[in-house]
Amino acid sequence: MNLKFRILRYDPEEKRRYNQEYAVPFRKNMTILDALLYIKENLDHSLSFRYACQAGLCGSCGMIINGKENLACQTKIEEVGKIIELKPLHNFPVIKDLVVDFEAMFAKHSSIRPYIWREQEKFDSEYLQTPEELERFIMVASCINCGLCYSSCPVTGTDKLYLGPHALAQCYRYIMDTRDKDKKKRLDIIDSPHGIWRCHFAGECSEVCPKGVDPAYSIQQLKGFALLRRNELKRISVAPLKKEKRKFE
Amino acid sequence: MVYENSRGIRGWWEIKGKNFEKLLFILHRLSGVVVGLYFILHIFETSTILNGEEDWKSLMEFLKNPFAHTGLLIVAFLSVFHALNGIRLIFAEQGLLIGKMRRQGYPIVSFSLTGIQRKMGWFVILLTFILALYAFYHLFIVSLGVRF
Amino acid sequence: MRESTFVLIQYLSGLFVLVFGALHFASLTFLGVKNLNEALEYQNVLTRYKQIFWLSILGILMIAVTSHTFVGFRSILIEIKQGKKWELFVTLFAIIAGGIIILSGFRTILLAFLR
Repeated sequence: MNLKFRILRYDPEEKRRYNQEYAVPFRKNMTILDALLYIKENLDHSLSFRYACQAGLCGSCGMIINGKENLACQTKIEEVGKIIELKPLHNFPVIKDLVVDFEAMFAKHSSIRPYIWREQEKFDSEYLQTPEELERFIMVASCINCGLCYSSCPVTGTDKLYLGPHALAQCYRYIMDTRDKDKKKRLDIIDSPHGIWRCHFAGECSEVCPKGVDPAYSIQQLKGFALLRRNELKRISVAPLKKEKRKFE
Repeated sequence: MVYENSRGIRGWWEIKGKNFEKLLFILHRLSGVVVGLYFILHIFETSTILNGEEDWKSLMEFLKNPFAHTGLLIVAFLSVFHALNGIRLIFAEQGLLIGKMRRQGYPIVSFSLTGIQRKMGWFVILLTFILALYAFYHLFIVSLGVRF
Repeated sequence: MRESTFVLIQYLSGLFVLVFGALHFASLTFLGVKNLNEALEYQNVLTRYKQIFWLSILGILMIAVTSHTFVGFRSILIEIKQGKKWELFVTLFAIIAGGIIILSGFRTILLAFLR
């Protein structure tokens, strides 16, 4: 049985976008990435796509598979049917074929300061955190930066300055982290004209997230903090806590 | 040379194969714009009252037809939807009714999209239709005297 | 101004519209009007403009709807196009257009009251 692949390609030298079709023999348990590698090896060496781990951990192979953002290595042919349409991710500039430029997304990511942020840093020992405190943000921390949420978000499509679901979810991750200190400064960064309030809870980001990071949830929580629950941030205690409270010491 | 691949406003309208909240998002936006424009017209429409009884009566006679009333019905439907969905959004945007943070496990389900807010969304649509029926009764059966 | 201030205006005005919009319709029932045709009769409409209570409801509702509408329009417009000049223009447009709507609404309310 042959599968029909229709891939939206882009030739940067001629600035041309076109669809190209390939017939790929079906193999049981085949993923989209397997098929792409088959095309690359046997049918067309010029096809470009990005991949690395082939296990849904690196977040390199995000693309639009039959109209929905997904990781090519995690999507089995059986799930999507015999005719498969592949397109590069939306809202990112296309470099070639299915390879997109993540620079804007990462610039927004770094603008929310994705690291533990404290005035006085401690170099002699590590910051302590209980497993319960870790549970508050572990879901968001499993983000693999694949950009599927950024591609699916309807607002990122029109608002180029909007921080996007990826960066905002990561901001929530650091706000919930007990080791991080300047939570109010973080809120000031995202409570801007192109910050959290450009999200209108269309929920597409959470729908496509392959890791269940649920960016929509995180952004709604941030909105709550920014508007009416500002004081709640004080309750997210800052490490190091009093020694006697720590179970593992 | 890269190709800017932004979806643009077209992305707002894509609801085929998307989640339920996306439909509510675009309906909320659309209803907001339509009702907003209606409101501006309504302000200027009602100012006719200052021109005296004759003008007012002729305007009301002019607007008493199935077309204008269909427009009013649409505005009624959209404004009820906008109001009810707005309440849902206020709750959701304050982090309520969208579930609680937990560690993800397989099968992966984003719980903010399965929480009470989604049920509320369906309830919003149901209630909107019921109230729109009431508006239909007043606009067409009582006011225009339509008989079936 | 923080962006959340706009949102707070949006939430509060939305809730006001909900309450006062309901009263706007309920006013018909309290004034003993049976249906839409009667409600739109010249004298019945003018009666509502003559009583301070219903008049103030109209005024508050109008301010609430206008602010809600224009904060909403602003939010949509800055999502469509970006840039410092554009955003300033949109914010000023929202304030000025909203102001015109409110003023012309108040003109109607006041003149109808004095009539």
